[in-house]
Amino acid sequence: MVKAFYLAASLLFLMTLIVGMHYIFTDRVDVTGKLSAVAGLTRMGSPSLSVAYYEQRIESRVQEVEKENNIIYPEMMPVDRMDFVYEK
Amino acid sequence: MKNSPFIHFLMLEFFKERKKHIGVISISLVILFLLSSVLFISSSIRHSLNQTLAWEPDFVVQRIQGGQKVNAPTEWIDDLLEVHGISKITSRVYGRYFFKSKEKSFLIVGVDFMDEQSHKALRMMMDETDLKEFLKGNNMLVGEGVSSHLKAHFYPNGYTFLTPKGAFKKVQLFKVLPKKSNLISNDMIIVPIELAREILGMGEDEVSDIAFNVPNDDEWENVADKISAFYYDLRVVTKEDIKKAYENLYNYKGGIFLILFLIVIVTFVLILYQRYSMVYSSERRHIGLLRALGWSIRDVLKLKFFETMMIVLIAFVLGVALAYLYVFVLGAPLLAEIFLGGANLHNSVILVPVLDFGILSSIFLIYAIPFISAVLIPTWKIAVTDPKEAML
Amino acid sequence: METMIVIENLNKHFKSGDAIFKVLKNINLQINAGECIVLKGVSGSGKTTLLSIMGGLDRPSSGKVLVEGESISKLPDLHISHFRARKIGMIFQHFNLFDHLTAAENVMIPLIPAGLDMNEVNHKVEASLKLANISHKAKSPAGRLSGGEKQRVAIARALASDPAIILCDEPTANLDRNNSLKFIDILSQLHEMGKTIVVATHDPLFDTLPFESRIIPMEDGSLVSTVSEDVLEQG
Repeated sequence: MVKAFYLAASLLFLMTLIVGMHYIFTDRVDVTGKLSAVAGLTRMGSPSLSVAYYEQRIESRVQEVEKENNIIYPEMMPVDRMDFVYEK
Repeated sequence: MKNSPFIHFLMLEFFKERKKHIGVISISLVILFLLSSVLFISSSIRHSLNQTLAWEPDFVVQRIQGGQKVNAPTEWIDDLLEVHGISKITSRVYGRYFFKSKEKSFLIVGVDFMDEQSHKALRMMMDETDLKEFLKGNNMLVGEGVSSHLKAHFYPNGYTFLTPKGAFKKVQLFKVLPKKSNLISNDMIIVPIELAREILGMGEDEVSDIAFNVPNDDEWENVADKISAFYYDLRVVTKEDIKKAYENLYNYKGGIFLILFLIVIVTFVLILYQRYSMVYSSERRHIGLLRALGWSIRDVLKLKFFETMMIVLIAFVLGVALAYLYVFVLGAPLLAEIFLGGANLHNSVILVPVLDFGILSSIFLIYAIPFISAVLIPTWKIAVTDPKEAML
Repeated sequence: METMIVIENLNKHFKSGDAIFKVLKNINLQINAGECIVLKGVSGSGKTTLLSIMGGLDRPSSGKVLVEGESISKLPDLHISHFRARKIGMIFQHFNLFDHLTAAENVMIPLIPAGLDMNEVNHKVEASLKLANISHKAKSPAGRLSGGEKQRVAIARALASDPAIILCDEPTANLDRNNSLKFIDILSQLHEMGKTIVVATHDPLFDTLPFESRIIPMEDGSLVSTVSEDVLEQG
């Protein structure tokens, strides 16, 4: 039975080793470098809206708007129904 | 270790009753895997954003009217120039452009490409960029999300913007920003500042806001107070405010998961407690028999403690390792969608491996201590009864 | 002859709500080293309870139990556990083996708290299995053994730490006649080795053991025979 223990322990150790190796050898500098470059260029380091989940108005899963507001200028921001409830 | 009968017996007990343990390990594994995955995603994003904070200006001055942010006048820059201790004043021009009202929007950012800092940053971002070529015509640099969205809507090479003045502005897609910057650039369109003004309908004397730095940290409060007093409709946003906002944002969903985790762990512990207590007589008889064969209470508790620790460690190491591989090697498919949200454009963020040992230790303690208690307390209760009674 | 076990004014009762059930009433008994005692009585006569108290598995409500001159009735847990591990070999009615462990692994259990080296443990396990004539089944899971084989594993386990006292609680209750006779043969060997044996049973096979033994009838929690009382008085 001790063999089974050594096997299990070896497997766990191997997994930890793989994780450790990946962590040490991942090129972090490149990713942070690219992020810093964009932030440096735009002087805006805020996350893109597609990683935000707090802004209800823009959140596509929360159907607060139904259709375009202005036929002539469809690019105009749609009216949020909650605007009529809360003066934001 | 090999020569210890206790260790040998511990292994026997553990592996021969593996069916019993596999169920417990599996449930623990799922719980730990999910929680670790969420915390890894959250830590990674927070870490990446903290890195970009270095490039954020120390202060941003905005104009607020009627509770809404409006464009600020460029004349404010002259007032700021007169304040001592301020450096690197930059006017920022940016805004959202809604893509045919389908609730998808792009962030138009205007950049003064004549600025030396912009040159440096551009070279860091893109290896081969002919700036002159870029500035010749109406060109834009777009984030990956924008590029995919445009292609999907049959705009592979560029887009024709409709300005608020009713004019059409055709802009060519020059280059896609690196995928590694998706966290901040996914829905971004970078254009020369004049073009941005046209698309957003801003006049020459308007800017979205004004950014500047104050190199001396001790002067921050003074400068903020001084500037706030300039105009009644002037709002000062500091880097600290932004940092706190980030923390709140990314602690929010992590916090929800933590609460869910705590609820699940409490339920799990209660089930375990019931399982190890008098409900299952086989466990009781097992302990009673060991006691009858000369094992002391301490011996029995030692056996159960080490047996439980093995389960805890296996589940923890496996759960965290699998979570790490899932998040940082596979990119957290599905969970990233749930955690990051599907708002606006689809985003595939590259998550930088971050191991917060403080959080990992906390997870371990929150999981291990109740687990071990749930096993040891009923075991102790059985062990202290006379063996004859326990074996009934 | 050296006295092994002395029981003085032993009483045991259980409480159930307000009712008190007296299981053992004023037991006085003396057992000499190397003796074989058969506690005979029907179910409910208190023989199992008396055996349990002798083996330190249960505590008396009042009275004393002395083993080799040492009182075991009020020992702290660590001491009584050591006592059970070193001095008592217990053979239970239903064998009480761990079905998921092999015969050898079951026999090993009483030796673990003793702090021995693994080689010593293996040596003792082998010797016990040989003595109980069950070496050939050392690696078989206990759950797959027959009743007779399980009983022999239980005997081997009881002998593993070479205890001075062997306590048997209805050892032949789950055995056929053939296996019961084989068990009695083993008891005979243990008696020759000088072990003190106490058997609680109602099996008539124990009325005529092939070696010297003392039958003490029990009824309703009391010893029917008062031979031991006389010996105490003389002592």
